[in-house]
Formats: sequence, C-alpha cells, structure tokens
Amino acid sequence: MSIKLEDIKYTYMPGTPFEKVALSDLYLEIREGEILALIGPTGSGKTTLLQHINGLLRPDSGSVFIDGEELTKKNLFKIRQKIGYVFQYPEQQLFEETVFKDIAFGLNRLKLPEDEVRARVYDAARLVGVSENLLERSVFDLSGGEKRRVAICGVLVTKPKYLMLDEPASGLDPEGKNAMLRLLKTFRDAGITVIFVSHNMNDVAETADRVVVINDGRIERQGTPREIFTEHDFLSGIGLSVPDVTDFFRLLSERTGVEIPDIITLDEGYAYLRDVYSKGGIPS
Amino acid sequence: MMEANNFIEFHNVSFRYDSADSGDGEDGENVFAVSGIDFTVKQGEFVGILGRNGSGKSTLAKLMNALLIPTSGDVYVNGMNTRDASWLWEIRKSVGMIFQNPDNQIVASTVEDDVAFGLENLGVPREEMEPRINDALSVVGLADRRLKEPHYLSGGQKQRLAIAGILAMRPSCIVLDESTAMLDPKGRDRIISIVRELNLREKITIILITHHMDEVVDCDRLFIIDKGRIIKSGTPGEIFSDEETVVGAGLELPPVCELFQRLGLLGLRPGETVLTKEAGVEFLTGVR
Repeated sequence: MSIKLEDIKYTYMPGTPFEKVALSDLYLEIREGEILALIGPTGSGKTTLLQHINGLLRPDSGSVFIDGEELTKKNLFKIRQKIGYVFQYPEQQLFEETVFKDIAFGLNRLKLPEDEVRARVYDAARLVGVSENLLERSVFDLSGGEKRRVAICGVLVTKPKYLMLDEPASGLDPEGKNAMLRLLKTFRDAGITVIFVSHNMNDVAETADRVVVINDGRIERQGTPREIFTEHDFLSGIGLSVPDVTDFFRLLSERTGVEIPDIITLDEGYAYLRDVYSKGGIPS
Repeated sequence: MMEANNFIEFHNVSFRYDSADSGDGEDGENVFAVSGIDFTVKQGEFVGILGRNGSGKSTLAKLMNALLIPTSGDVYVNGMNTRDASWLWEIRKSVGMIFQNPDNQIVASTVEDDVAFGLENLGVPREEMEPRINDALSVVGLADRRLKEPHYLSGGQKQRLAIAGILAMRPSCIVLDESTAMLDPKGRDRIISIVRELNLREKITIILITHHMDEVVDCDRLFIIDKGRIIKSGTPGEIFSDEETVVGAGLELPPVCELFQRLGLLGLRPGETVLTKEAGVEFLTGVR
C-alpha cells in the first residue's frame, strides 16, 4: 500500500495577476514503511505538496491515491484519518490547560470512551518520550523540544498510518533536534510511514531512507540519500547543499587527488578514515 | 566605568519576567531568565552565543538594546546605561536586532519603504535617505527588488531586508537572534556571509545567537549559556575541544569537528580541535 500522486497540477490564485503555478507534472509514490525526506528551496512547493496529500488543497488536475483509493470530496474525512499532519512550529498551537488535555484534543470529535482516550494519550506520550508526570502539567512549563513532542502526540493519538511533518527539527537546539531525528526512526519502526520536510542536509542524510527534491513545483530528483547527495552541482544550483561530511571528503579528494567513495554520514566518514589510517594514512 | 574599547558590558545582570508575562515556578516563585551575567563585547568583535532552548539567550539579546531592562545589575552600550531612558533611541539606533521569523519584521508595502521606515523614525532628511537606502539594499543584494512588495520575497530575502533596514540606520552592532533558523541552505549561507563581511569591512560588532554550530566556528569568541548563566566562554577552539560541556549544555560539535574528535584516537593531541573543512584537509595531508 502506498500514497500515489499522479500528474498533479495546482495553481495559486488562478485568473488574477498573482497567479502562480505551485505544482506541475507531479508524480510521486510514497511507500509504506519508509522515511521520506522532502527537500527544496523556500517556495519550491514542499508545503503545497503536503497539503495535497491530506486534502487541505485539491489539485486543479491529477489525482491523489491513498492506499489505492482516490481522494475525493466525499471520502476526504475518512481517508484523512490515515494521514497525520504536523505543521511547522506545531507547539504554537498548544492551548489547553494541561498536556494531557492538549494531546487528547484531537480525539474529542471521535467520541471515544474515556479509557480508550486515556490509553491512546499514554501510548503516544510513551512513544515520543514525554514522561507521564508531565501530563498533568501546564504546557507552558515545558521546554521547546518537549512542547514540540507534545504537539506531535496530539496528532499521533489519531493513529495515523502516514505521518507528515513540516520541518520537525527547525528551531530546536541540537539536543532537541537529534532527539527529534531519532523519533522519526522510532515512528518508522513502529510501522508509521514518515514524510518530513527539512532544510538540513546533514539531518536528511542521517535519517531518510529516500529523498525527493522539489524545485519550482516539480520533482527534479528522487532516490536514496546517497544517490541524491552525490549531485553536488545540481543541489547547489537550486539553493540546496550536500551534508557537511560529504562536502569535506569532496574537498579532501580534490586537494589530494585521491579517489574517495561517496560519504554522506559521520559514521561512514569515520569508518573511511580509520580504514585509511590502518593502511598507513592518506597516500601522497 | 567602561573600558575604552568595550562596546557592551554586562555587570552582574539578572532578569526575571513578570509573572504576568511568563509562567510562575512550581511554588509561585518567579524564575530568573538570566542571572549573575558578567560579560563584555569589544567594539568590532564577532561573538557567538550558544545554548539550548529556554537557556536565556533571547533574554540576553533583548537586554542588549534596552528591549528589556535588568531586574538587577547594569547593561552599558557604548557607555550608555540601558536604564537611563534618555539614551533609549541612541541605544536602539546603535544596536540593531534581527529576530527569527522573517514575517514578523516587515512593516511597509515596498522593499524601499521598509528600509525607509527606520530612517523616518530617526528624522533623517529625505535627500540623505535615498543614498542610505541604496547602500543598504546593495550590501544585502536586494537593490533590484526596491519596488517589490516584501510579501513576495523568500524567507532569506526578508531577513536580508531586515538587515538592510538596520544597516540604513548606521548601527555599531547587530544582534542576530536565531535569524537563520527558518531559512534554506542558500538563504542561511547568504546571511552568514553578509554579517561576516559587515564585521570585517565595516567593523560592525556582531552578536550571533544560533543553534547551528557551523555558523560560529569563525567567531572571535563564544559563550555557552545554560539555565540563565554563562557556563563557558572562549575561542571556538577552546569551546569545541570541551565536548563534555558542549554536549552537557544541549549542544553538539560542528560536523567536521565531531568527525575529528572521534578520530582523536588516531592522532589529535588532547585539546586540539579541527573546526573547519579546510583545517581538516590540512590536518590529514599534514600528517601523511
């Protein structure tokens, strides 16, 4: 099962002087069980794309299929329950008196029995690492990273099969950011398909199974992080970059003339250098 | 008294938000956002401030241009005590501040009007405004967008516009409070290289608050703040060779630095760090 977008076209404010084609010729398949990173410069259409997947926006032409079922006005409510959508800076939307109430808020309209609500809140909190003693506290007592995890819990309680997160690590300190990236893997390992938007190429290389590059409303590349991050010139041409370690080894290779395999994570970089050293250092 | 070339001085500064503004502590006691802060920034220095979310970084920034006044202790900007209301406009003019969200700092309906806004408030005569606006916009690379509506700029361009608005006021110091957090890689690089240039060429004092460690490896000095206190200060080399303190404060090493720290077993001497890609290449080719 998967999410499929077929030949999506979407134009903002059509027929006005502000008309802008936001998405065009867009085909994409998101496979169940993967972590998919969506990268692209500001204004390239990443958020517009996410909004099509959960039906917040409807394409001018083309179709969105969720597990084989085409998204229409009629089945929107039902199908949308499969898709969790965590907006950028979701903690700005926390408002309830307690952490528990905030997490449970999204369940109100489902009219679930009280013990089911409770179980879902506790499960979600456990999954993201929000400790139980925080649940009765005010959301204002939490740190930045904790608030964001609470906001994500509020989406998780609806038990989405697919979870979309728009720049989930943006604005967090390094500790909070690293915890968030580990969390994305936790979600995947718990059977939730993860789609996330990021501007941080290091994070994408360390976390994603597959990467989609969107530019000017079109998908220009898709592949494994390794396939994508070998295309340095293409990426910098559209305002993106490669991970810092990739850039470092590229520089090392240029300066020494030594051919170095594509390295995209710190672990790979370390393994490579350790290996080189065990054989007597960088050859001259 | 201030030392001659100190631009900003903090003397035992503590600050506590009113209970109306922020949450009370568990037992109804207000928590100090920063406490016992003593530090100085020299004229023309490029200083980085690091710390986890909620550590007090933004409070520190707002104390630097009298957006906040200390609960106790004193802040001097170029010799002016921020408590003294008669200096307020002089202080605001000399210390410009760029915040995190590009959309919250735009006030006018065209790019040039946005830059003019600050100048009008300062009562700068019309004929002098024109060249100042031109200069400021060309420094940040927005000269060709003068008549555009800011709404159509990208996030990075909006941050550059905010910098231009401050530059036109001819500041001595710019404080950037996580101003690159919402930008894409190119937008981020652009902001960092612009402030570096301003520091080198125009000798503008820069205070850069960030969660991106790679942005601060070229700073003159770094401060780590945690729970409202400065827990460590030093050159980037001194800071990042102390991995324990860095990680303990919720931070991390810059990526290349981390690689070499792990590689330490293979030839880095204790206290030695490799901060940049260039330095890393030099280190590896030097020891071969």
